[in-house]
Amino acid sequence: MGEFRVHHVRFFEYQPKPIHCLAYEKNNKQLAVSRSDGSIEIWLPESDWLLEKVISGRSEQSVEAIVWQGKRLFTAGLGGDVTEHDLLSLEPKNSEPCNAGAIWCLTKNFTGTRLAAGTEDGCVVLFDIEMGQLKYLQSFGKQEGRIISIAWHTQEGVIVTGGVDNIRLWSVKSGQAIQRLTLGHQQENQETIVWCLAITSNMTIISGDSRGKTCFWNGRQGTLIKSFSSHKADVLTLSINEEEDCVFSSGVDPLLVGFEFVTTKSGVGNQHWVQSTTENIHKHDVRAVCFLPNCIVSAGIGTNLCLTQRRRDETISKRIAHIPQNIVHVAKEKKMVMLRYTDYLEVWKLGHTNFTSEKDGEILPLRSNPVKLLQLKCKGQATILCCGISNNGNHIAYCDEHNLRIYQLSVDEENYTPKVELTKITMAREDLRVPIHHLEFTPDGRFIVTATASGYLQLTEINEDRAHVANTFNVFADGITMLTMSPTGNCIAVVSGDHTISILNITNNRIECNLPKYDHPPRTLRFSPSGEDLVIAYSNNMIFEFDVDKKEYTTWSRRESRRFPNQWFKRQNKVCRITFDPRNDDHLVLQDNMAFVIVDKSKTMPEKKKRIFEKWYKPKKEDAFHQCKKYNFLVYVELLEDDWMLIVERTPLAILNNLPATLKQKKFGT
Amino acid sequence: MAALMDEFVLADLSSKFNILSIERSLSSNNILATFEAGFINEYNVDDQKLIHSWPLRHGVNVTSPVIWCDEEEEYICVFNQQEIRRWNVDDNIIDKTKKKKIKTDIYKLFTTEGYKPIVLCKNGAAEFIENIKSVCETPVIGSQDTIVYADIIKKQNGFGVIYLVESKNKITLHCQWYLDDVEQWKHQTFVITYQKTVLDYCCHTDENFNNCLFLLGSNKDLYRIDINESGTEEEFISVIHELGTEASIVCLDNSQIVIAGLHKKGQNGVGIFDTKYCAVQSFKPFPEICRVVPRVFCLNNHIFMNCGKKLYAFPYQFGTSTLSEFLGKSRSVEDTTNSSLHIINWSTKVKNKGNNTVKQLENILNDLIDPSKTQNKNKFSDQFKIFLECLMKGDNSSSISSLQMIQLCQRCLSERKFWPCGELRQLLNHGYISSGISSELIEVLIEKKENSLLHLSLQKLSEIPEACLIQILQYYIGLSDEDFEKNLDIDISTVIEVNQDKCPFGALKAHLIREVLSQPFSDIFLIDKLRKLNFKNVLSLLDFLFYLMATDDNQAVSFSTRPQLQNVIDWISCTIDAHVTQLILSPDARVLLIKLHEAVSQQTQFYDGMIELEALLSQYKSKLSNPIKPKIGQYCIEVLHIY
Repeated sequence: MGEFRVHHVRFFEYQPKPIHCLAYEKNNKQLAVSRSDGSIEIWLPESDWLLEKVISGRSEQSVEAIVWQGKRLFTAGLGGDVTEHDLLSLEPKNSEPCNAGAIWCLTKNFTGTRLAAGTEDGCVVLFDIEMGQLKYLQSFGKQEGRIISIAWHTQEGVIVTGGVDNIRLWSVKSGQAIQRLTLGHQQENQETIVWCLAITSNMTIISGDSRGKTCFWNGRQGTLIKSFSSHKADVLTLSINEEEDCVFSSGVDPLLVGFEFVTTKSGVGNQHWVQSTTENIHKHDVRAVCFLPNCIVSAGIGTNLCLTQRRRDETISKRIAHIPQNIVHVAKEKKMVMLRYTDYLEVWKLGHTNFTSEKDGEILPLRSNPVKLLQLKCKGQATILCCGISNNGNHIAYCDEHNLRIYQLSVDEENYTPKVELTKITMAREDLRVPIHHLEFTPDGRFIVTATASGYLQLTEINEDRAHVANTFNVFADGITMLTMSPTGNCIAVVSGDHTISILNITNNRIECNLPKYDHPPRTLRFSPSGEDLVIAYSNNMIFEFDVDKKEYTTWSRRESRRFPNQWFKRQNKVCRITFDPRNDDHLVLQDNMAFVIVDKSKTMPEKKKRIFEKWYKPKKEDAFHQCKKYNFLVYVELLEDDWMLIVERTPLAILNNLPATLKQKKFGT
Repeated sequence: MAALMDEFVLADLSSKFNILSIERSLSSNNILATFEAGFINEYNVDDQKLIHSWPLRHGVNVTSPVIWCDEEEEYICVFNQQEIRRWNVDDNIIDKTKKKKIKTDIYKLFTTEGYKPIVLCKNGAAEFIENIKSVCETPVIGSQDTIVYADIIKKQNGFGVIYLVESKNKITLHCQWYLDDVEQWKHQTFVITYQKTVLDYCCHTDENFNNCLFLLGSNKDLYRIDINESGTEEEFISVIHELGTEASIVCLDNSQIVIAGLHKKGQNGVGIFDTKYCAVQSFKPFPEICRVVPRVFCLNNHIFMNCGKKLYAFPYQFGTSTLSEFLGKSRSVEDTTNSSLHIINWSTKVKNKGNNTVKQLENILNDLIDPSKTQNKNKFSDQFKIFLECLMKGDNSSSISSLQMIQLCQRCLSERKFWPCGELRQLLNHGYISSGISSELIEVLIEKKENSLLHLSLQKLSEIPEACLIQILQYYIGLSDEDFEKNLDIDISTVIEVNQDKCPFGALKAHLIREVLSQPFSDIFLIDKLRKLNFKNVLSLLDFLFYLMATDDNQAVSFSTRPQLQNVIDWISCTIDAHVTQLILSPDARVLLIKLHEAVSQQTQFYDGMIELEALLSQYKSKLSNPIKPKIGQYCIEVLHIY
């Protein structure tokens, strides 16, 4: 039963985007991450790094700075606007221009009533964000050259800005520059750009510049306290902790260099900033560093979030790679795969073979090769938010910011080269709620269930060449974060913004039941092939199975869910997709980013302390857990009929090959 | 027995382009020679004339050789892997002829009587030329696999395209059978157990539709695979010791193959190897030094071979081999004493000085051979000294034929007035005594009890007849240890110590008998001659052989000492075979035979243990070999076993 014939797909050229900014909100325990395409992700570090929300980017939008103010999220970019985002509907809520060209940097005051933006024109622009508003307030006097970095010292009423060759101190009261700190040139005629700034409560200004130096200045006197040639190239980012005794900086030279404020002898005058640790965990430019309560997060061109923790004088590094869910869809009946890119879709017909083999790893000769049937590009420069393909492959649908588009797909496979016809189905838009963030076809392909992040759930009926909204539910005030359709087509399971899981009957428009609430938010959920059970994977890797008819956890779940081995809950990569073996109802296939595990419900659970996921552990047939670590970066695992399995893999090497070049450094022996 | 005749030059070859193949053409006298680029030529073999030549455009490479299709009456070949070109006799410019392009690389084109041309693609797809486009893009073999050899074979109701595929150091045989009755193709795959590096392949179908494929390994193995629809039978035929480093083969019939690249008698050449008797039956040296890899083709009762810058044709006579023909080869050659003795100088550059030396040599030799001119020992010795000095100078030794040296030896052996012991020793030491006279020499040496010379002969002569070996054995066993010590100068340090309690002979005697046992022999002839050994000596010999095999003394016999264990076992088998009746009847032999049986059982047990060990070690080896990660590419269907 553990033998499969695998469609091993590597033609999906998914490329995650580089990270530009990081901002952590300590009260809500949320980390905002912006990427080069303007998208903003909200992560929950406390919930095992669950990606809670994604505000999709627009092509014209760039995000150069993020600022949290309580639960409000502000971004600013080269468009010249400061934007506040609605975290429920995942749309821009408010936007205000700075009237001074592109914004390079943004900061807020300690009380959270003002925002200050550093602009292309060289002036600091203040915004009023009191009482839930966002308003242009005032612009300071212009300086020569753009302002690249900014920091605000509220008590002293001073804003510090960094630009080309200088650091300026501005009086918030007067709007005038009160001090100018000049930076030297490393080479003649080569400007020094101050890429990043921070200020401590005792007016110590910390700057990172294009010479690769991290400098500590006395802000009151305007003198340089200490300068460290910490990097071989530009220092792009630095961050200071809450206690103001530790600074980390990084940049084009991706070393993460730490500085500590140490006391050499007793007395105030004997405190110095010293360079302490150096971590070499990045290969590409680091664009942002951020302190979290128990670790440091750094990210950049390398697209992954890197966590650095210190435990008992030992540094532990961890990478968090994110592959978005629902970017691969499969039409099981027609063996077609739909791949979602930022602004286009691809539909592929999988290859075929009649051969079988008993040898593990053997590549079977193909009777037919995979064929790209379709590439469907979005109109204009829209971004695809979600998409789907019906099980019989007859319909495909996708949604951008403003529209839901449905197409009828007919493939004539009689010819050697399949003939593909795509017919647009006209959508009656009157009642449609957009932007749609979740989309699922019913198993018969006649209906599409759509959900907006703000909580609207709609049922769209497809009648030959027309489609219209048949029903609308608006019962989820906290918004909808996840949606899954039952294989029987009459139920859907919805995860709302407060992490409640509800089962909704779409035939009688009733919420059948809410699942018992668990301490952790759900990461993924899926109905079993019979539609009787709903399997949920929570952010801590807890697996529950819920009987939809009896409205209670199944016997297996009550008996075994909490008896999963300890090592299961400590796995670095958590379950992000669930699928089922059509040959055996007892088999659950749980996929994470690096491996998938088959859980046999009929087998006894191993002991709690048993280490079953170690390299040296040789699984036996009677074990309940069987892990496959053969694939490197799993985008999608799905079991098709009989012994067929679809695995979409995007190797780290393939992602790495598409990234820009790194800083060339001489290495010994090269 | 098939035999090669004298060769003739068919055509001059261009040094730029390698010859790809020689195929039959429209007429039975004509052949088609395809080169990688440049030209396609048609020659008449009978009068060695170039009949047709089609020039090829620059940039065009012929990747599958030109074939003549009787059905369509046209020539067909493949350009640049994918372009099929067809033309008839009247077309002079290939560029203007019909072309068909397919999307997959073609490996080879084939024709067979009664069928349209067949195309074999590099991905393993095979189909008639008309339908190839529909199947060529469906691979039969993996993308990493490569076809190393392909040919066409016939069967009662159709034909088959066979090809060998190499993948991950594994060779598999694929057969695409075309069945007339259903007009369909059937694909079969067989795994070949022979997994060593192969120099060349050839294939043959006889009139009863028996198909066989020969594989010539780089380690000189010849391997045969019989192919039919129900499966394959593999058979190791023989090790061809005469094989050089590079060779090419072609089949004459099911048992005779032509091998170009044999090394025999210090010369490289082409020969016919008989797989039934595992021997080279006809050999011709290469007409000129062959600096390229020889390629051999068989067509219209001629063997064609590229050698140097020329294409040679060897006509051959076909015939089946018989055992008597092979054995006849070992009979002694007719005595040609009556033929006049002339030293022939083949050098084209005639030099007076050189000519004089040869003349002088001839005169001295004639004096030495003629008893009337060298009557006494002194005169003979003087002349011999001058002759030897002369012979050692330059390349004079090549001017003397072996026949003349035989005559000189015969003079030495037959001389009644004196015994030219020293002269014979010198002749032996310099290797001037040919194997033709060895039996006569040994007979005389035994007669004269010249133990020292006899020992030297054993060391120096390369081919001692089996009869002589038995004679020597008989003589050695009959001698006492004291006799040896008197009349033998031998380096004592080389003599292996023996266990006096167990060994039936003294150390010196045992050493010399070992020398005899180490000589090469053929068991067919040895059994015959062993019968002449008297029974008492047979028992002594068996006793000694038992000592060699069974003794714990590690110096007695092993894989490295002479004789090797294999030789000892062969000698025991032959001795017992030759005297089986006497050994059964004689009560003296009983104890010895029981002891021998015990020793053989012990050896059998030992080798059984070795077989088990070999299996175990081979398993370890296969487990320890570094796994090669298959290249997946963009997409594949693979087998996954999770538990």
